[in-house]
Amino acid sequence: MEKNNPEEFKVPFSPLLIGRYKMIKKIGKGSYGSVYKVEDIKDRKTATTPDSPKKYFAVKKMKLPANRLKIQGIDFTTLREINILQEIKHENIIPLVDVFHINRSTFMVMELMKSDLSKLMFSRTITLTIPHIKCIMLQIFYGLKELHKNWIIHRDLTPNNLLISEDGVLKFSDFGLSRFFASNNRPMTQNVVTLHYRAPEILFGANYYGPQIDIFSAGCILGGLLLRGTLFCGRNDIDQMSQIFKIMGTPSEETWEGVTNLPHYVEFEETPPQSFRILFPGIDEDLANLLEGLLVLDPNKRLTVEQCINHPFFNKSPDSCDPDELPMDDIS
Amino acid sequence: MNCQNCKSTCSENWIQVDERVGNCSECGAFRTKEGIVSFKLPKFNMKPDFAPLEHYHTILLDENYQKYQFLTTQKQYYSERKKLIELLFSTGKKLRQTRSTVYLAIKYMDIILNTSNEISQIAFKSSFKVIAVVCLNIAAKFDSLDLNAPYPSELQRASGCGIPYDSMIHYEREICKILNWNLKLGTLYHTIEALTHQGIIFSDDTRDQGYSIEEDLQEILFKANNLLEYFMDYITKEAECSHFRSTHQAAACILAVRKLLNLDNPFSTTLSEMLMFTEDEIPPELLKSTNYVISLLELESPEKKDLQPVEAQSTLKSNLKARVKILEKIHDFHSRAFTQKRHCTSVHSSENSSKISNPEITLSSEEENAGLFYYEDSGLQIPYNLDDIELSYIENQIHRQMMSGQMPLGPIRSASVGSDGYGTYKDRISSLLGGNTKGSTSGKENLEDLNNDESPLITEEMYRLTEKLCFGSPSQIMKYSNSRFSKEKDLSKNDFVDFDSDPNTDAKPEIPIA
Repeated sequence: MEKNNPEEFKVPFSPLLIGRYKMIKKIGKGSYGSVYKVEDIKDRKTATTPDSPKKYFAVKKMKLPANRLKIQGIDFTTLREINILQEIKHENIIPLVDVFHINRSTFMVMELMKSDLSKLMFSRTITLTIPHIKCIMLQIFYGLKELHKNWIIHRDLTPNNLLISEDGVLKFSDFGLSRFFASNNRPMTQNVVTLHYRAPEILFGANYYGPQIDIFSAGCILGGLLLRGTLFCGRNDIDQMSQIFKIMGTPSEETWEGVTNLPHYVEFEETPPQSFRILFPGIDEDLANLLEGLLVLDPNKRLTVEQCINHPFFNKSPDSCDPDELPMDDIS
Repeated sequence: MNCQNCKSTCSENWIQVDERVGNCSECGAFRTKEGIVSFKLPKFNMKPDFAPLEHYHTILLDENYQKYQFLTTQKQYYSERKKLIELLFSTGKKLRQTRSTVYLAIKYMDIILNTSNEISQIAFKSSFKVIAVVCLNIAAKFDSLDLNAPYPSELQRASGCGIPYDSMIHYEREICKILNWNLKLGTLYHTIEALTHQGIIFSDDTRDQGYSIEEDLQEILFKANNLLEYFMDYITKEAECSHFRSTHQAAACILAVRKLLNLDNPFSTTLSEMLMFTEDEIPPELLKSTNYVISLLELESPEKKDLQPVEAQSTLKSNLKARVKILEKIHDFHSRAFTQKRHCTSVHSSENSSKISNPEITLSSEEENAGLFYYEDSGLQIPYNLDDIELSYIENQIHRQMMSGQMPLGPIRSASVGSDGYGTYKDRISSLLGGNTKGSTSGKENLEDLNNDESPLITEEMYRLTEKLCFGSPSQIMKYSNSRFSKEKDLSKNDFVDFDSDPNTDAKPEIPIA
């Protein structure tokens, strides 16, 4: 079908989108589609002074399904993302500027950001100090607090989806998998969260889960910031679980009530939990305690966002640095 | 102090939303500073991260931004709305969508077709179906279970209407634009959900003038849940109620449920604290609508007390069982008559007609004493104790249908009166049903009419109307009537032996529109 009509779904990509956004260059690509840097021409035209600075934005072009039969109009991930971005206005959530359609594609215009957390996290040239880590984690928790307060689970919290602006402000993006969790009686899919940041309850196939899965992802990110790499780097679900259990200990009914009833529960070789102070020598007790609280296997025992923000780790010296003190200059 | 709902010690850890109220940190039950706790079914217990009350407050806040100017002139849409809702429920069921999704789709549909916008201005009757189905599609994508968004082909098949693919895509974009991509709208379902997760029965509630609710707590909670679901569907179907805020709709439903449960103070201070508004703030139209339902199920409703003389009240009170049977028989008769009518139309069998003229329904003296107005020849029995509100409602409904040409006019059987002194009432009822009001009071005289195939028996519309009056199937009626229990009635439980022996009594009530 697609071969017969190759032009049918091709978007005519003129350099000027809807007569307003001038294409500059392609800056990213992902499973969702492509991201372009654009200049807002209309804004320049309406500017009061001719020397006013150019306004740049990022335009996200949502990918169309390869199979024509699967085209269902506006993709549901796009629909949810637009809705959530439209609704949540917060310093740590990326703002949505505009939405438009060209042929069958949907375009989202968003604030242009400098980089994402993964570049900061995996860079070998940047040194991250405790105040830096505190600043990053607090911004993550503030963003999460806003989402959870509005009954939204992000469900794909990874360093790649945490964008950083020029002045070091961290912003959540990619809400394609997000959903509202206000009801506790509706099953949810397990096909969420990038494998390395996936909570054990999802790996065990739980149909009912809550905002705690975001907390686990935040724990993985904190571990990653300390390790400067991926904390649990499994190749598949089973491998991922074994990596988690190697550190957090094998779950049992005593440590996690109801785990054996989860749909994909499999018994693992019994391993005792390890202390994070051994894994990360040199970290203080509060940080180890926070990490443990974030990565607890039983979601009911995991810390809540509020508890994370009020954790003693953030209240003691050294204090968190300001966002603009983050080492952004070294990121390309 | 322990949480009386989950028996946990949460006095120190309760999630305080404001100075006075909050939720139990273990089960999410509503509780006040004084220690008044709500009760709920175990299935609604949850360990909340954020207080469910906060979720309800979010809904209240969101409503301020979701003000739509609903039109009252969309007569075409009003006449089609119920059918469209039925279509949405049936399509949603076929596509395994949740009720939440369908309710959201109804909300989108109301906004699109009943406010002033680009679509409503040009939409005509034949495009309503497409718009309704597209609304379901959008709701499914946004709200439904993950990856359960239906494909256009599936939607076309399930809805049973040939919706062009391009129209669907076109409408989808237009609807999203009109909604300004604000798809998270508060619906009655979501509001009720936020409230039932906290509980709508409180520890300071009493029933039947001072009796504690704790003895039959589980039964009360179960019935409250069933009744709430029923009222939710009822309010959703009523086009006149669709204009109101979902929180007000929910409050009207909860108030109705609490009235039916015989709670002494249906709109108690605790409920008011949870809902964040007083009874006076609920639009009277909504209360009228739910009170109408109550008045059919609840013999001791305030309206009745005002309208009925004291003697009549006591008679009615002692004949609850008879009343339930009457409703059941009306339903039963209409079901059979409707089936027969269809059969007669196609086969013209005189045998079938004679069956109708000799129904197997007999009246007991108890029923007669209950003050029945019944059609002797047909077995159709109507309780005479319908009040003026009910009568005018039926009149309006029938007249509206007659005016719109949906209900054929024509003579049906004349009637006789079960007990003397209700002639005026009889005439009204008879005329309502399209009967010969000037006829004699003996049904036998007009028996020929019954055997005449051309004489319209109970039409489909009338059947539906009666179904509406009776609120669904007999088992459903019995269930709701059974929910009105009290100490006295518990003592004579044998009265309800039929209901208790019904294995489906505990089942989820049948939703009339689904």
